[in-house]
Amino acid sequence: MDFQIRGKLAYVNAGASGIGEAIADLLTQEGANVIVGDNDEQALQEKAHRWTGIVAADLSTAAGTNHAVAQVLRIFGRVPDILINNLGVGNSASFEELSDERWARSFEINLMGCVRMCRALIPGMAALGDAAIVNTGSDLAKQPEPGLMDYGVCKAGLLYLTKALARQYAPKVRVNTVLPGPIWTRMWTRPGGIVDQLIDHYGVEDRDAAVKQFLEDRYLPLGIGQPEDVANAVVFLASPLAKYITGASLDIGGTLRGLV
Amino acid sequence: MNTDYSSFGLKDKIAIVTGASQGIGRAIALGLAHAGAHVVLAKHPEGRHDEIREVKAEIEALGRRAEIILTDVASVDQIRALMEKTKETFGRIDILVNNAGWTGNSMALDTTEEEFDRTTESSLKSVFFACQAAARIMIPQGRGKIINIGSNFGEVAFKSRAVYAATKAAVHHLSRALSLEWASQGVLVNVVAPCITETATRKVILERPGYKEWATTQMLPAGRWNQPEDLVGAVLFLSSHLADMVVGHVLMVDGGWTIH
Ligand SMILES: NC(=O)c1ccc[n+]([C@@H]2O[C@H](COP(=O)([O-])OP(=O)(O)OC[C@H]3O[C@@H](n4cnc5c(N)ncnc54)[C@H](O)[C@@H]3O)[C@@H](O)[C@H]2O)c1
Repeated sequence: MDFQIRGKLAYVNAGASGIGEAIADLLTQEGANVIVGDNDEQALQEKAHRWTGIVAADLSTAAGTNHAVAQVLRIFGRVPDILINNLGVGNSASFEELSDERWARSFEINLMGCVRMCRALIPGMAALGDAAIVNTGSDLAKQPEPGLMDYGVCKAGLLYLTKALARQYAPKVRVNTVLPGPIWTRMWTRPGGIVDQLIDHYGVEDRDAAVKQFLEDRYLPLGIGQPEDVANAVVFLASPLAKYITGASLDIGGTLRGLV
Repeated sequence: MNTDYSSFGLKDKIAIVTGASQGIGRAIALGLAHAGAHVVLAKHPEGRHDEIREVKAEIEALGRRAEIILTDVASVDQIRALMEKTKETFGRIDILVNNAGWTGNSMALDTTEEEFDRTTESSLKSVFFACQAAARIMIPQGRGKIINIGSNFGEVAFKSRAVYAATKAAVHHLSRALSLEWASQGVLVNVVAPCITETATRKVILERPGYKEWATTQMLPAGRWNQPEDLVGAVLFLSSHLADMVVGHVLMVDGGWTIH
């Protein structure tokens, strides 16, 4: 592919695995210089050779974000042309189980991570005059999932943030969001992840049966996507091929039930 | 920006673009050809023919095939003939871009029945029957991409274009509904929704006193009119394997108009 981003500087916030990793790899393959931030130091170290730089930090905190920003500025010598806000974690819980502390924690991870990163970098990116931000939202921003309310509310907040930032910083910084449907990553496969939750929920034995039931329950004609499907869309939106697209959200996987 | 789109993987794909003489249709037809596709150029039987011949010549100069098929998209028979002839000539249809359409500019109180019918027949009925005729060929192929050109006014309202806006909203919704029927059979329908684009037929509107100033300062965060070329990236993205998980989506290419 040629997304025409050769030589651009890109920072991926939360990219050591899953969707973020696929984004970092595609940006690199397209000739961009990529720094990846994450709190999973081991995964970062293992994959460091693939990218221009890495920074280990807890990106759900102000201190961690400040540290990451400082490292990015140090390594690149300036703000990046492309910022990918991919930080997000969903842990299922019923509405009644969601304590104030859990709501606050989810808010730090799923919304403030993006807010802080944008606040730190966007003025400099605007001064560049031709920068792009892409945020990883979720189909749940439009389609409420009772077991992931805190996560979905934050992802819906990201949509608002995207539009508001797009409006304020146009035409110098384009800001867009992707809204992936189910994507096969650790979020699904880790112990206690979505697959395990589905097995419990449906009372079935194995993961194939659980996933099949899930796909039938939700109308998902294209099945579960891969991280690369999201990366393609993210890099497209970050590229000059999308130079007139700002404030938009791009559904991946057919989000045909929800309305926003 | 360079127009070498060969990396989109569309080499030797067969694409149909309706309303390909000028403006958006012309830019898309050329963009697809630059990406390696052979293009069927559908043009209304009446009116001047020199422009479409120039588009054909430009495509052939790129070493791609181009066929002009005269088609009044408001005629269901002619739409069906367009698809049949394309299949006869090229053996298949990979990509259909429904771009043609006509719209009146009257205020609602002044809109005649004739204007209403002409708008809905050329901008809605045409799209439905083109999708249907193409899908009858694409479903047996197991694969096909349909891109309908919508409008920002299909999502947000605007004065003096009530009927047009309603047909575009219908096209957006039609595309979602068709996706539900056809996605599992490999036919993906999406929309690219531009805001008002600087083309010859829109000159009358764009040159209204004060309009440009108002639109570019109040309505368009991008601060400039959409150019036909701005739509090419989005159409190529959706036509290509990069967007194989994108279905039933309305991709706004509107410089942020619908942020408000
Ligand atoms: N997988 C899906 O089905 C799906 C669907 C829609 C949206 N998303 C979104 O995609 C994004 C990536 O998710 P994924 O599926 O790739 O998950 P993942 O678990 O594979 O990757 C998430 C990454 O974030 C990192 N991370 C988590 N907490 C962190 C913290 N406090 N500080 C720094 N790094 C942290 C992890 O180490 C990991 O590298 C998230 O924003 C998620 O909400 C995923």
